[in-house]
Amino acid sequence: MKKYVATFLTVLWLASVVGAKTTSNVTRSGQRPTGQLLPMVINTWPFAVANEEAWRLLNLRKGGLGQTRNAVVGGISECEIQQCDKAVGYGGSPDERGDTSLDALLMDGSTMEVGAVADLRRIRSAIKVARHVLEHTGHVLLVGDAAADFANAMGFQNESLNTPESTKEWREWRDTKNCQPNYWRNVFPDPKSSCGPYEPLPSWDADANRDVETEIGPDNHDTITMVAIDEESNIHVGTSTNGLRYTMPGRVGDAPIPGASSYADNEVGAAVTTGDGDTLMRFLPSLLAVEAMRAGKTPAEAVEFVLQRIRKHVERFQGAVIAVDRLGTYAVACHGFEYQGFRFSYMVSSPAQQSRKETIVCTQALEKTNSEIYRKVIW
Amino acid sequence: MRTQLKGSLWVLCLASMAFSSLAVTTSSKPTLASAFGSKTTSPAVSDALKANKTSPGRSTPGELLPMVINTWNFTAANVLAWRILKQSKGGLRQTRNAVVEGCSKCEKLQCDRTVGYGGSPDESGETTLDAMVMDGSTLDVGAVAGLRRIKDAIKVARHVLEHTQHTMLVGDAASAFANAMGFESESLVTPESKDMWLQWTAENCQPNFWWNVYPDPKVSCGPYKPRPTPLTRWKEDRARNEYEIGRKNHDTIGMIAIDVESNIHAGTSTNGARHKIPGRVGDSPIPGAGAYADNEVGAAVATGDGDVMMRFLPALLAVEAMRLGKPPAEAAEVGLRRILKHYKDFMGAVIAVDRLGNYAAACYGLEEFPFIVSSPVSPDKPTRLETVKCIAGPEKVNIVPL
Repeated sequence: MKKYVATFLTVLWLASVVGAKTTSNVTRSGQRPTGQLLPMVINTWPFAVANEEAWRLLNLRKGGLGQTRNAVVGGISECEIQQCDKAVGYGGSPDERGDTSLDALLMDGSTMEVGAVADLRRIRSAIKVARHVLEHTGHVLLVGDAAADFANAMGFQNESLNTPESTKEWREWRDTKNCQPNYWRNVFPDPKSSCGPYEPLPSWDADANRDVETEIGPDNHDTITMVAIDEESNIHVGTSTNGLRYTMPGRVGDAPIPGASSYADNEVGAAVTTGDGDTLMRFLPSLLAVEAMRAGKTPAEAVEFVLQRIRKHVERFQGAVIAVDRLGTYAVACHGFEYQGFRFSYMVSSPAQQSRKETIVCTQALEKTNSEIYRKVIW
Repeated sequence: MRTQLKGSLWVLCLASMAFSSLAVTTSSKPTLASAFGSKTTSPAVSDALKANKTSPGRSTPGELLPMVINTWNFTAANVLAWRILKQSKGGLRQTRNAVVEGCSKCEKLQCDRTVGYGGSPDESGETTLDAMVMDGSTLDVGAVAGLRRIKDAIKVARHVLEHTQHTMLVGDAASAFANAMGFESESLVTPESKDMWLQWTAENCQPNFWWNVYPDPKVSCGPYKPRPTPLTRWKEDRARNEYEIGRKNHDTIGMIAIDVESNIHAGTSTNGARHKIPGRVGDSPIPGAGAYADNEVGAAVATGDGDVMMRFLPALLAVEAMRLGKPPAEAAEVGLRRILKHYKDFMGAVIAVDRLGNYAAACYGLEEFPFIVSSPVSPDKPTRLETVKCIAGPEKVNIVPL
C-alpha cells in the first residue's frame, strides 16, 4: 500500500515539474489560455492610449465586424497625436539635420492591399496618409516630399514636425556629443569621433561587418505596430514611427515595408515587429512569421523561428515579434532590449481582457562578436 | 581445414562482389543536375515544367559557375557583368562589381527606357530611380528609392551599402547623400521623356493610378480630391491590365551573379512605372520583393507590376522555397501562384537560382519571358538568350471592363 502511495506521489510530483516547465515556456512566449479570443487588438510597447482607442473603435460594432481598419488607424493615430514615447509622431527622433520625418503602413489582410508612406515631412498624421494611399491610389508606397504633396492634395495641412524639444536634443548631439552615435562607416573623417561632412574611403574592406553597437538608448526606435482582428477573422495591421534618432536624412527602416514591420493574411493570421529597422528589414520577419504559421507552425513556434533566423546572421540587435493566428491565438518573442532590462512589453485587448499590459523576457547576445574586436584593430 | 578454406573462399567471393558493385557506383560522378534537379521534383511538376518551357531554362549538366543572369533581353548588361566576373579566376569576389556595373550599364543605355534616366516620367514629368544591391554572405542591403536628379542609382545604392549602416535612403535626401558621395546632380528628363509626358497629359492623363477621387480619374486629369470610400467598395476588383504593363513599362533589370564559391550578389535598377504618382516606390528597391540573396540557399529577382508584387514578396518566397529543398523552377512559381490567388490580371516574372547555379524562371501575363544568362557551360558562346513560357498569357488575363 505504502509503495503505491509513494509511486502515486512521485508521479504527481513529476507531472507538476513538467507542468511548471511548460507553463514557463508559455509565459516566455506570452501565449494565454483559451476563452473567447476574438475580436482582439494587440500592439507593441505599453502604449495604452493606442490600444484603448483601437478597442473602443472595434467595439462600435458587434464582434468588431468591419471595424478593423478604423481601429488600427484610430489607435495608431492616438500615438501620433500624443507622441508616444517620442518614438511615434512629430517632435521626436530628429535626423542628422535636426528634422523629424514619419513612416507608416496599413495593410488589409483580405485583399493583401497595402498603403504606406516613408520619409514624410510637414504632415503629422502619417497613418491617415497611408490610408489614403491605400484607398485612393493603385500604389503601395509613396516617399519623400512627393508624399507630402500627395497628402496636401488629400486635404492634410502642412505643419512642422519639429518641436523646441527635438531641436534642442539635436543641437546637443551635434555640439556636445560630436555627432555620436551616427550611422556612417568607411568614410573620412572618422565617423566614430567627429561630425561630418564626410567623404567616402575607398572600400578596401568591403566585408567590414556592420554589426557595430550603435548606442541605442531608451526611447529610441520604438515603433507602434498593431494588429486588429474581428470575429470573422478579418485582419488589419498598421505601423507608425518617426524612425531612429540621428539617422541620415531619407533613411527608411522596416516600418513602411510590407513583410518587414507588419504583414497580414486573412487566411493565416498576422505578424508585427519592432526593433532595429535597418537590420530587421533585411530578413522580412513579419512575412516569415506568417509563412511559418501558413505552414502549420503555432504562433509561438513562428516567433522563435523568426528570431533564430536573424540571430544566425546578426549577433547584436533589438527585435520583438508578435504573431497572431486568424483565430486570435498570439505569441511574442524578443531579443536584446538591454536598456529595458532585456524585457519587452505589449498591450492586448480581447473580450477576456481589456487593454492589459504583458511583459516577456528577451534572449540576449552572449559576448562581443569577433567582428567587433576585429573592427577595433582596423581603426 | 577444408571447411575453413571453403568458408574463407565464400567470404572472399562475397567481398569481391561487394567491392566490385561499389566500384561501379563510385566511378560514375554524380552530376549537379541529378543532385538538385529532377530527383526532388514530383512527376506531375516535372511534366508541367517540360510543358511550360520552350527551351531548357533549367540547369544543364556541365560547369554552372561562375554565372550571371538577368531579367529581359538586356544583353549588354550581362556581357559587361560576365566580363567583370572573369577578371578573377572563378569570378571570386567580383560578384558585387559584376552586378553593380552590369545594372549600371542598363542605366547608361536607358534599357527599354525602363531603366535609368529619360524614361517612365511620373505625373509631373520627372523621372525618378529605384535600385538596390544585396550581398548574400551577410544579407546586407543598400537601396535607394525615389532618387531624383542622380543618374547612377545602383552605384548610390552601393554607397548606402558600404558607407552607411542603413539599408535604404529615399527621395531628395538620398540625392543629397549621393552629392556628398561625389555624384553630380543632373536632370533625368530628356526630350523623349518629356514628349511621353506631354502626350499623356494631352490624352486626359490616361491611364493613371488614382481611385475614388473626383474628378473621375478615368476620364480626366487632376488635381484630385478624395471621395470617401464606402465599406462595400474596399474589395472592388481593380483591373490592372489598363496600365499596359509589360515590355516598355515596368521592366526592371534584376541581376544575380554567383562565383565558384557560391558567393552571391543580387541587384535591381528601374525608373518605375510610367505616369506613376510622384514619390511612388515599387518592388525593385525592396529586399525580398525586387531581389533577395542568401549564400546558403541561392537568390531570386523579380520584375513586373511592382505595386501588386511588392505585397507578396516573391523573391523572398522563392529563396525560402529553395531553402526548403524545392528546385528553382518551383521556387520561381511560388510567388506568382500566391499572387494569382488574389489577382488574375497582373504581369510578373521571377528568376530563381540556387547556390550551385541551377536557374529557372517563371512568368505570368505575357506570352514568354526572356532572360540572359552567362555561364561556362558553352565556352564559345557563354552569353545566351533564353525564354520561358508563361503560366498564362495576356489574352487569358485581360478582363473585359463592364
